Formats: sequence, structure tokens, C-alpha cells
Amino acid sequence: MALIRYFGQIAEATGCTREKVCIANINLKDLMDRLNEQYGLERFQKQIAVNQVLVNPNKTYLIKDSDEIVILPPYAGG
Amino acid sequence: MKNVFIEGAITPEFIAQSLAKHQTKHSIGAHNIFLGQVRADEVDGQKVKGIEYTCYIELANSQLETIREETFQKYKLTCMHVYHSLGFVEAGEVCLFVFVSAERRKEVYAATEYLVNRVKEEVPIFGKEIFDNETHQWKVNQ
Repeated sequence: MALIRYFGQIAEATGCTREKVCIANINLKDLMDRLNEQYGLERFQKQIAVNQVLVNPNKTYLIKDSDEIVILPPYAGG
Repeated sequence: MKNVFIEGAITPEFIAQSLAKHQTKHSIGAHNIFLGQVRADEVDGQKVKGIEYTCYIELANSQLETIREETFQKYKLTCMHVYHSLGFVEAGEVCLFVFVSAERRKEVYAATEYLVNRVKEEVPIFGKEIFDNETHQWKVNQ
């Protein structure tokens, strides 16, 4: 089970800040397509972090069972 | 950078104590401080009463560490401190405190601007602006 975490307005759209899902061995891009469809996330600008490192969502990355995937809206510190 | 995040507002007393702690460091000749304060913006007749901050702490801490190292490489500083609020901060209260010290003044002006910009652009912090009537909007940095 991989862990997906959401922040800010994205967590508001998904209705949760984290969820565990059976997504091992699928590509990050496919996961994002799935989440976009499920929660309507296309409308948000976002960045993706895998295991605490920002990644290019268009790059092929095969998700592992132990991964933590974090979906971040635009930063608004200060 | 350690202990950057503070629950709730950054108080004037905390800021004064930070300054006091530097008075034993006699190589310092210039301090510069930036304080970010929550604005009571008005949107469609509703006033922002405060901002609820959240953050992705693991990534925030690693980004802050990189920013710290690169700021020290770029500017000749004696020390630097960044503090940011988490949780609810009322309009009029301070949510960001950046404190830079050096031997001379030129370095601290430039370094403060550089640090504030990088914190705003690179640290995963999110702000929910809560209006008087309990509705909200998500803060967007200009």
C-alpha cells in the first residue's frame, strides 16, 4: 500500500489529507490521471513529491509499495 | 535550520528575545529584520480575520536547509534565522520573522530580501484565509 498525502486546497478537494491505496507498479502519470478524474484535480496547479523529493510528473516513474506520494498546491508562505 | 515553525503568531516578545540573544556576539555590526504580518484583506465585502497555515514539514525542512546553505555561500553573514507560523494567526499578528546579522550593513539588506523571496517561493507552506463569516479562500503569493 502506497501512501498519498494532500495539502491545502487539494486536501479540501479530496476530502482527506492522506490515504493508503493499492497502486504499486503503476506509473506516476497514470496515478495522477486517476486522481485528477476521481477528485477533479486538473483545475489546480500542483507539484508532486515522491519520498520527500519533488519530481517531474511527466517523467516515467513506477510507484513502489513503500512510496509516499505528496500532492502540493502552490506555496503561500509569508 | 532548526525550529523554524512556531505554533500560532510570532510574538513581539519572541522577536525581542531573539535580538537580545545576539548582543553577546560582538563581531556583529548590523542586523536586519523582516516581519510578515497578516493583512485583513477585503474580498467581496468580507474581511480576512486570520490565516490558518499548514505545511509539508519534511520537505519544508530540507528546502530550508538548502536555502540556509546557499544564503551563507552567497553572503558574508554571521548568522541567520527564519521563523514561520503554523496554525491560526490573526490579522495584525506576525507570521514570518527573518533575522539576518553580519559585520556590516550592505550584506544584511541583500541577504534579507533573498531569504524572504526564497522562503516564499520554495518552502511548501499553505495559507487558508478565513473571513469574518467563516468562509475562506486559499492564499496566493503575488
